Amino acid sequence: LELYLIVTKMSGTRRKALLKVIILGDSGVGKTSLMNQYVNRRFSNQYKATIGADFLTKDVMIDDRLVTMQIWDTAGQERFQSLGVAFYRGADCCVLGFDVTNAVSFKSLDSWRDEFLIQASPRDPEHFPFVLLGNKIDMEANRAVSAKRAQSWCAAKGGMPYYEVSAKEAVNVEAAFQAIARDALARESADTSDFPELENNINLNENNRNSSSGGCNC
Amino acid sequence: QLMSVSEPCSPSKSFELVDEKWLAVSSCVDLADQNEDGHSDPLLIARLSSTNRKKRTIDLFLSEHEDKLDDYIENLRTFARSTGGLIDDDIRRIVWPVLARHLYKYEHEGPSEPELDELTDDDANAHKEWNQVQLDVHRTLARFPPNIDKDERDDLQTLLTPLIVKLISARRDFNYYQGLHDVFLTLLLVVGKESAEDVGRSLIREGVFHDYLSMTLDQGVCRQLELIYVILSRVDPEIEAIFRQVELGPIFALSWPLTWFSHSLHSYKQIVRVFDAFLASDPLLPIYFSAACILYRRADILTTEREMPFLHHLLGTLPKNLPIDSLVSDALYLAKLIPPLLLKGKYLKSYKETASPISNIAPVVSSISRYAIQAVFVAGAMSAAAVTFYLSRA
Repeated sequence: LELYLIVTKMSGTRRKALLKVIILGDSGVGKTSLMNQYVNRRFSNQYKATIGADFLTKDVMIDDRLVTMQIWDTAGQERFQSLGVAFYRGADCCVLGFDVTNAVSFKSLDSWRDEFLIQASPRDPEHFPFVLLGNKIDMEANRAVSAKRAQSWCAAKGGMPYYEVSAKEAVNVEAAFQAIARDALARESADTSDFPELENNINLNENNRNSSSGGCNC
Repeated sequence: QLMSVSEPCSPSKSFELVDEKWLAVSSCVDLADQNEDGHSDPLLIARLSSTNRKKRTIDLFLSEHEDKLDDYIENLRTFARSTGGLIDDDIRRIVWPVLARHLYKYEHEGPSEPELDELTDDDANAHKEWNQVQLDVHRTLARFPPNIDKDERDDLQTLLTPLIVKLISARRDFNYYQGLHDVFLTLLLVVGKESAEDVGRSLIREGVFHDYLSMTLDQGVCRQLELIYVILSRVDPEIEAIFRQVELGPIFALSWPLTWFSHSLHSYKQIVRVFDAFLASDPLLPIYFSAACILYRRADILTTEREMPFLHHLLGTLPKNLPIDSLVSDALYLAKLIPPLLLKGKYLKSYKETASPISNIAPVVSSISRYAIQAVFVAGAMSAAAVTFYLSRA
């Protein structure tokens, strides 16, 4: 029995080496900027509107475990939403983003969350890890959504963690994504899988996953 | 064999030099005037003087037929499609509006609604899409060529939003999509405000953008993207099978037809070159060009991990030094090999029947003979006339 447990744990560990994170939110809230600030530690005013989807990866140590985060950035315009769902599948965490200076982007959060749950259909939707990021706190003078309002929305969603961040000035971004990785990982080890139907697929690709480092050279 | 369709598998030094030179001068100024200074590379010199000769030919042609260019649309199309395209923006400013008045006939699939009066510049900012357009226009800094200073850039950005909103306001069922702004920015940069309006109007009313604006992306552009798979299944079944096996989907190529590659190509020079060809060709040429870009990267595809994310990322990120001219030739050749009507009809039908969506089994559709495909390699370096000759003999 002990041997069995060890084997299970090992294979569990191997499978969890990759955390897939998807960032959703309205156009212009700063999804691309947040991802780039976290992965490449830089901000640029040269980012173009995202058309379609792409990802960056980052290797992080979480409590002595090396984890590869694969962070997917998607287009924010509603017209593109139906196309993004191809990338929702197998996500370990969904990061919702809004712009604290734009109340409309805050109001859209419900529909982004609903759409994710419907399309990704995780096994345990009630406990699927979401994180909320309120971006652009460097523009405090233009703030349209108070931290309190965001927090109470999060509380109503079963205590979703909330971070106020600035991709431009690198405020809280690192901490937020560290926490995202930690939460997703902790939940993963407590649970078997959110996407049971993909189990086979994941196992088949296990060897590839462990040696992968692609996507981070840009 | 790991070989691109257009270039030797390890590009020779001379190719790199040419590319560097071409990238270095990517701007609104006349390329051909950047002379052979400092370079003694014979290929580079040959290419530049050939470009110069073509420019002189076009200049002469334009001045001879100044008043009746519309009567010479086939000549203009040939200039636009052949090596180097229309060479520089002084020529483009004259020729693009003519090409846009005579776009290839495109059978709209989207609904035909009555046209409304366009909004004026003043009331455009009340339009429902204004904010989204503005948001995207603000994020175009990376698109401007280096010779445009900040003031000029600001002016152009200020013109761009009302221009787009005004044109899409002509139809109730036109819905702006992110990426249309890239197309219109290109027009604005090349032909200026007045002509950009005419060229743009023509592209969204008569051209392929009509469907992108009036249909959902799933019904419109995604169905075109599927045709890339159909092309690949006929010319490179191995690559097509890999894509299907990893369930790659079409989204990696989404911005290519939607923006006529102006979102993904890295230099202004490359973008205007493909616009030359697209304005002068079948509306599906961007799809054939997409296939050509994929085929060109065959070696990269085969050496990348067989997983959706990695292939999606690889293909979605176009290399900086793509040999655009060769790829335009390849695309035109593919369009002759698999004509658009057959592609959308017979080939699509048999692809759907035989290529199962998830299986690992290679499709059983017969591919076009290897010999014909190898001719694509030749075509990359040959004129369209020579291709026609080959086809008529084959």
